[in-house]
Amino acid sequence: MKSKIKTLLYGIFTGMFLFVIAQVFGCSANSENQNASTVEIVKANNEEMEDHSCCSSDMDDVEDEFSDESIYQLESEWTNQSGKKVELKDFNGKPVVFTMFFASCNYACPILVYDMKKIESKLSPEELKDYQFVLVTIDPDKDTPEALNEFAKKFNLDLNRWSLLTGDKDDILELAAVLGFKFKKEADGQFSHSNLINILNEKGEVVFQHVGLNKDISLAAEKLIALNSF
Amino acid sequence: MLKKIFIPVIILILTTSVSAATPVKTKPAPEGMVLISGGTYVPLYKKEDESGKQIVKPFYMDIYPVTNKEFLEFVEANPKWRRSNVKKIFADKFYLKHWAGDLQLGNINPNSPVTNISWFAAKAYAEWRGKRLPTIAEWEFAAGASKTKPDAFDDEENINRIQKWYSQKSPEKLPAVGSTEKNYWGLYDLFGLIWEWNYDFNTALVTGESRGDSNLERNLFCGSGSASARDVKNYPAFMRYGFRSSLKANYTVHNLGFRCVIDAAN
Repeated sequence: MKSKIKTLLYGIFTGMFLFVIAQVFGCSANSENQNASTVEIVKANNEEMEDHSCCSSDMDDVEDEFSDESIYQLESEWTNQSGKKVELKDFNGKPVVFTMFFASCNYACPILVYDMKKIESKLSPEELKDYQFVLVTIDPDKDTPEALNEFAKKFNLDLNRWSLLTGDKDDILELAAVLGFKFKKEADGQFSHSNLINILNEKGEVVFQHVGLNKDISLAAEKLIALNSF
Repeated sequence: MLKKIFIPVIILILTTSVSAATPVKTKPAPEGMVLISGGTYVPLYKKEDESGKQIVKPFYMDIYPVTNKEFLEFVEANPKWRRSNVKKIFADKFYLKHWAGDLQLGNINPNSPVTNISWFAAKAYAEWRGKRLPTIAEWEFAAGASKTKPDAFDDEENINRIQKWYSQKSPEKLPAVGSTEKNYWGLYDLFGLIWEWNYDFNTALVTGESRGDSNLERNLFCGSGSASARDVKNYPAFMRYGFRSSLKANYTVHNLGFRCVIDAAN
């Protein structure tokens, strides 16, 4: 009987001991303990990370196709109002008047587009052949190629010269970041955003930014015309 | 008979103790990250009613900001992000200026947070690690915690503590990560070390709706307007919003770094 009690007591103490060990080393909400207990996964993750190099390490093969300040370095893919796939570098070679907008904009964007048309009107038909006007939407959910096409019709935009682009949300954010264009979706589906018309030279470098709405566009137009001497 | 009971008793005690110690979890957090459970978040410039609430889904966040040592690994593997190779459109001329060379840290603490990196560089690092930059909502949600509670946004003592740090000048040589406080979530250095990049920093609008010109937003930064903010006493939050809206994506700042997050997908 005594030895049986002894065995039982040993059993209980071992159990308690193991319980305590489990508490100390077991998983808990504490982040440090989490780390301690995921050593195996840590090793696996580390190996994964080391293989994760995203870009080619043979720098010698990379040609400097575009200058340091050209936005055509962005490799994002876009779709225009006709459903055609477009890259920004497709606009290389001619100066561009470039704005970000959204088609269902109630107030600012129509004015932005009219400002761009005012700039357009400062150029002769001959001169106009050498320029492009690009609108990129910040509302890809609503602004499908069809919606962009409707917008172009509504504003009477000459699609020989004007391109309206839609794309991936991350690419839109990246492009906006490059241009210093700020935007934010509001609860009602409208966007608050900067009012910015960019003048890019034929290499895709931003040479001038016209800020605001309904302001005098003469300086922007001047800058644009000056680019014609390339 | 007791001997027969002995083993099952042990097993019983073991299993109950182990299951008591292990909370139900789908997967452990990735190395160096902690789980931030989801919730609602009200941005600074919104009221705390229904219209202001945003949902923040659960995510994992780096416990510490990214260090100089870690960033060195990144540029070793990605030559186009080395100081002498980077394009001006992606990082300004002060990019990694505190390093001795393209691949040499020099006389800085390798475990100090990396700064003088642009949004593009931070984003590229995050992608290389299979992660991403935190959105403002995620960062503010995680940083809204004090040491002891998850939402201390309106906690005056907490605000004063943070404000004290914001009023100090950043040291020339930043100390190692982990040298400031840990908050409720287990995150270090959200305050007291560096500012941090966010994925959508350029939605921290200083201009309001696109009526009128792009002057300073009256609603947010002028006296009368701040009355519509969630907590007018939270001056540090105003400072962060102001700072974010002053940034451009290729800017580098000596006390601006970053940390990464991953979605906590089911």
